[in-house]
Amino acid sequence: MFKRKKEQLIDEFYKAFLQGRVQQVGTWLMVGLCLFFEIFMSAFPVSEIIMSTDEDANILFFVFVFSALLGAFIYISMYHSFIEGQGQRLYSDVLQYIPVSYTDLCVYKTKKLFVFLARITGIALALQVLVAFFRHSLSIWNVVYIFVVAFLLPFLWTVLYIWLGDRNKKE
Amino acid sequence: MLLEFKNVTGTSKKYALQDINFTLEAGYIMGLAGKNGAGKTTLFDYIMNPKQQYTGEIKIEGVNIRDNHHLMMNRIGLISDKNTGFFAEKTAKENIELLGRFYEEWDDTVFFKAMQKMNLSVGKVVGRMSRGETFKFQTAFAMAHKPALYLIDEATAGMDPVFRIDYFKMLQEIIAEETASILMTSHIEDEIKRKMDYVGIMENGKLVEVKEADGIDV
Repeated sequence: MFKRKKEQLIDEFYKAFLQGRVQQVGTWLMVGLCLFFEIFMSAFPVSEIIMSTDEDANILFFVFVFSALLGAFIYISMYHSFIEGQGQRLYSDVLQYIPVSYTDLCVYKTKKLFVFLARITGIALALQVLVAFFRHSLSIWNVVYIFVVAFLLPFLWTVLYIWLGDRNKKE
Repeated sequence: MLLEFKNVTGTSKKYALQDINFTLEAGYIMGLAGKNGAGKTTLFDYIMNPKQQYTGEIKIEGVNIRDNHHLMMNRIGLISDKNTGFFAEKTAKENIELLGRFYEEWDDTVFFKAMQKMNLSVGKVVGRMSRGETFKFQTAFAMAHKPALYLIDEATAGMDPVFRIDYFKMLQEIIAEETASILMTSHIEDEIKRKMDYVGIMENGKLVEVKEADGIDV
């Protein structure tokens, strides 16, 4: 008997389960498109627009909301395909036959979700900073914009979405 | 009492059991007989599936399985077509490396010995095994985690007659120490009459009769 944590065991198990089941081509395509648009949107010269007229500020607002929505869409679709969907299937196909509780799986899933969000956000943020740097000079406004649009808003919307979904399931 | 069904009645509309009552002591083999659709496999599903809805109690070694499903999986060995808990694309050895560690009393040596005894390679991919080989693998897997209750669903139907004799010898060895019991379904009349200690006859989700196997008319 190995003296390893149950969570580590589930992790290895989960990876093995996913092997040969990567069929979410559609999801990856959507994620790729969204990421492209988000990077494209982030390339707007934010600081220049903010310093200019009110009309441009309105445009920026729409760009801002649209980009954040795309970010949230990326997180939510990936949450569905990799965490929620595969996790549920993992339990009903395999884990119900072995001594692992559904609670163990839920704890694992939650931790996995946070790690996953942090990684994706890191990649998106790095890409956007890079694009912003090449397209126009990187100002503090760009960084704030990228942080809020690529991370804060999509993250909060995703957490809200998951929380509301769980609450509806319980009811 | 190793296994106890007490007033178990299903509340779902499909394949529901009706007022099942029986007990099984350690050290015995009990067979479940009945026509297709009588509820034999459903009875196994009530034990294995935590989502099954029913009233009454199912206890293993005095513990209600509904409240402790994941812990009870340490005490149950399922040998069945319905057991999807293995990785079809991986070998038997890779499967035990992934799955065996979840069990409290897992013993690799028991698994390898049983596989050798049944003449089945541990390097064989589970998804490419024949039905008979799959049951052999599942039996070795169950033996390795030392369950108290073996649930065997139509396993011997896929085995050749010569091996079937050896298989029952192996089952007799398992229960000889009186720490485990076997509940199995079968359609083979001779097997039910000669190899079981008790036989339960099922009809339309009801357990209509439980008798000693000798002389029972299946």
